[in-house]
Amino acid sequence: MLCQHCFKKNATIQLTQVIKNKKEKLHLCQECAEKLGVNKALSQLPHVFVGLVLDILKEKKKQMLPQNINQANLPVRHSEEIRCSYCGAAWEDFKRTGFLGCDKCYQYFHSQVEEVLRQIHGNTRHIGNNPRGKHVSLPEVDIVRLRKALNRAIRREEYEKAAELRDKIRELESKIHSKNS
Amino acid sequence: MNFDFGNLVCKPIPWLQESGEEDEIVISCRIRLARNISNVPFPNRASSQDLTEVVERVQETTERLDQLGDAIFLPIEKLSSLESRILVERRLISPEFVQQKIPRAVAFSSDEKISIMINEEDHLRLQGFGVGLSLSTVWDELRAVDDGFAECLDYAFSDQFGYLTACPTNTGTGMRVSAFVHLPATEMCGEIEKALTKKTPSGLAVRGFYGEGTDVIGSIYQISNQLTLGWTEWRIIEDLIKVAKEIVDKEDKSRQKLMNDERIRVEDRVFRSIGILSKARLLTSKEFIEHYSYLLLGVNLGIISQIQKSTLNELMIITQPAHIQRLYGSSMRALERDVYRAELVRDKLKL
Repeated sequence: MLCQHCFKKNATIQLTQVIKNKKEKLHLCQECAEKLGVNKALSQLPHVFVGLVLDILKEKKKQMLPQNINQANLPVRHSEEIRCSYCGAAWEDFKRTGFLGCDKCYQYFHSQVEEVLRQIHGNTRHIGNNPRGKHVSLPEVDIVRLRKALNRAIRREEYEKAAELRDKIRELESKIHSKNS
Repeated sequence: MNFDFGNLVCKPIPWLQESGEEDEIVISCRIRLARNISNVPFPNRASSQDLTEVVERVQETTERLDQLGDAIFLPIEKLSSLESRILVERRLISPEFVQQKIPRAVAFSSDEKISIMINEEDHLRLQGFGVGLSLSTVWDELRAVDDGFAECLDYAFSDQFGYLTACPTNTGTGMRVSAFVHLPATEMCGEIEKALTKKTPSGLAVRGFYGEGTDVIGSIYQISNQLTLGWTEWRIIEDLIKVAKEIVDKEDKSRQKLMNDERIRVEDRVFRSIGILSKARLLTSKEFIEHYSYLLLGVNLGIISQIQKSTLNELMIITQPAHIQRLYGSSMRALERDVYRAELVRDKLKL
């Protein structure tokens, strides 16, 4: 069968997936598969036999296709020269790699990111869990945790680590003490 | 701490030997959460120093978390390539994670139910595993670990977009839920396409791994969610369970139908596979998966009683290439592995 992308070479890679009731079968040649960004391929298939599957893949020198996120279809805005002030990533970088550079990129490229998210998820609002309020860094809380870690280290006979933890606990204790007095 | 890989490769994955909901058809399930630390560039853009700090911060947190017990913590660069491939084969880390060349580490609970990849695509990838369709148990355990990290690390989170991840395909919940289902009877009845094109409300995908031709190797399919933004975590899990149960139901009916109408055809396949696995002198990965699949079907249908399911589960893990090489103590070419694989299978099945 001919590659369904270039219609020139023989297809050696086959991907079948069912998304939203639609079954898609794609036959591609090695070259086109790579062009379409196959480097992320294996992570798309955390197969139950991962080791054996990798073995088969290696023997056949084949790679699987990633999800149907086509980089070429992502929105192009005239922001090539703009870079995230925190990590220095440009929107161009995202178009090339599919990765944002840091959490601040989400604010920096807000409208572009929003559009990308709408395309992928059909949605732009998170309604799930929220980690806020769970982040506590009171020294009192830290001490409890450090003590547990200290006990564990002693149990494992990791005395160097235990000594480090002990010093940290002492440091925090003196902090609390000076705050209270 | 020196970790004993020799001990690890001898034993099956502990949780895979438990029993769980629908475990005659659903082999295993997994939930993965992608998390990042605020004010540190994502691994694709961070400096080596940033990433070393991430590893240290997560290691410190890991040691404090009660939820993880005495977790094993391994920096990847200190492992040999064989050792890291063993972790891949036990699903504790991803294949890409091994290839990256940045400071990274893995932490996992001693029962191998929870693993944390540090500096994969995101700063943290928390994974929880379970046998069968035990997704609600897996979620409870994984959420407890996630909450523990959230207390100690400042997660990258926005009220609008949720958990912020390097790739926008994970933004929102950062959650990927999957289940591996074994569908040999649905295939034999020629109804696989119909069974898999079910209504998929929150964008689920079903994938199989194809060898040559059109049959999925080992009749094992993966069901997973595609969308992570705009749904609650529990809704994503519920939807997946619902679809998985429909697929399981179909497979169950196909198995009954085959046993009523064409029992001899099923028995023939099962016993041919026993024949090959108990006599072969060379066994490739692909051939093993194919026959494992029929043996598993035979055990679950009560056609064979002299083989335990736990033995099959064990073989599924220890016949993988890196496991075989560590078990027999040296690196080998594919042909040598096939020899040892055949030997190991004959020995364990004792037929």
